[in-house]
Amino acid sequence: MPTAIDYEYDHSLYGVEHESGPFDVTPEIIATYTRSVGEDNPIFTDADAARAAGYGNVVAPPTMCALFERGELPDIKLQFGRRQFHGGQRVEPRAPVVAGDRLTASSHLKDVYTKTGRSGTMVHVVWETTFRNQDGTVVAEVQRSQVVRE
Amino acid sequence: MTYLDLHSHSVASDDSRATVEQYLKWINVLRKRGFTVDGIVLTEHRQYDFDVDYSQLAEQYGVIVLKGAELDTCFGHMLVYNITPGLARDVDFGDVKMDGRELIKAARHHGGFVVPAHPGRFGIGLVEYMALGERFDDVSIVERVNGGSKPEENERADELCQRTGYLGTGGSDAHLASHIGRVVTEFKANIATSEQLVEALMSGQFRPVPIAETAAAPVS
Amino acid sequence: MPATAKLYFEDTELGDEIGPIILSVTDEQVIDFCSLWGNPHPNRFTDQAEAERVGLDAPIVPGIMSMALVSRALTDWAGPGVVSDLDLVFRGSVPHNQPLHVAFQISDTSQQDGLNQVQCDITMTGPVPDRPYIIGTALLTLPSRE
Repeated sequence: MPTAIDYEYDHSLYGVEHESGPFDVTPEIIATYTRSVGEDNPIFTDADAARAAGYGNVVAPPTMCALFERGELPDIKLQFGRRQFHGGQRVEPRAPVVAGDRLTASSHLKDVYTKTGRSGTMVHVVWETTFRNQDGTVVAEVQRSQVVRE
Repeated sequence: MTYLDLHSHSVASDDSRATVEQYLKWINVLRKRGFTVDGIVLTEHRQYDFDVDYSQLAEQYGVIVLKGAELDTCFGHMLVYNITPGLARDVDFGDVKMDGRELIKAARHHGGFVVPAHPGRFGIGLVEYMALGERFDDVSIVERVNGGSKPEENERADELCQRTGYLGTGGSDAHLASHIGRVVTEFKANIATSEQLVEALMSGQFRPVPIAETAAAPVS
Repeated sequence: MPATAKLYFEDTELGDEIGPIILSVTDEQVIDFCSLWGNPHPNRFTDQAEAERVGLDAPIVPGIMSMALVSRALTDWAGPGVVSDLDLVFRGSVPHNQPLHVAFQISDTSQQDGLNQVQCDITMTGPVPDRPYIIGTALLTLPSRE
């Protein structure tokens, strides 16, 4: 049930699954990701260490799925605001993602609501995305809150 | 004497990540460390749920749990205590642009009480609106110490109280379990209900205290 | 017993405080990270002028990169593969080239249905912890020594 707000946006997006992908999880993407955030545990950086720990290949850090969601979500055509920032992010890893996996994403609009804060009126746009691998296994549930302000 | 955290948010609020039970567990952590927190008021953002009942949890953990709300208004956020069905009928809690002065009057009419939250907060505190010439004749108490505000914002709230003679409360503004009780209000009265909280606020016999100052307090 | 385990359920207790774990990211690391999602330099995360154009004082660390940093701090403390839920609220801009203090506080523990779970509060602040850049929680599923 969407929250009532004063600003117009595309309500037809509710109840619709937006499919995106495929996203190939390459060793190079994992390597760049881990290097840029200093994630140096061997299961994330060394395929042999990952295999020795029981994984099929070098493992993607648990929040990496959020990378693929970015830029893939539809425009809700909100008639408010000029600036956007990232208000919150939730990731619930369900199964390991390893190099060589091919992921797909299914996203839906969860809520749009208004609040006020230091920077004035803000509209929060919340999306939920389910990531699956090539076998159809759910690997992560992701929630993203984008904030639009005056 | 009663030590209450007058400002807290559970997962019912969009930006909190603490359950009520986690707050109560953490209060018992604080008690083991020698601090005194008798209870909390849940002031969820823009809502009030008449049906939710925390009495069993309150009894289990030995913590007073009262319910209020933090409402967005055109004059900043306001903490509302002792919410009645009549008030909820007269005020749209989800209206982020409601007239704060009207909210204060409506709450008083229905036996409730309004305390402007974090009045020194930049961009949204009462101080900003007073600087623009707005008057708030019905305000007598503000949240003087807010656990989620910047030090300079709490200083502005402090200056406001000194300048106007407003009395001040304290609340953690907790959104995480481990933030509950970091600021509380010390009341002279014994408080167990929302009606008693309003009476105690109207008596003027209270002051905000950081958690550290409760360490030497007698156990109530 | 998982080969990668660093922290066991029996080592945790409600009220435990961990950290701060001090991290920082350089301009080059942010440029690297942004390249992963097709946002090449210069952009508001990597360039002073672009940041100012959108009202920021300086380039900031992207939210999903900040989340990756928190996740890394969890790995440093508890080991890899233990995060069951990571839920963050971004409250302020995370700066480049500055110490980022990530702290955890254990707010709940439970053993149910064979799962040993620990809930912890998370804050990321600058060196002065007056107002966090990020708050949130993590649910960790830990191995047992038994």
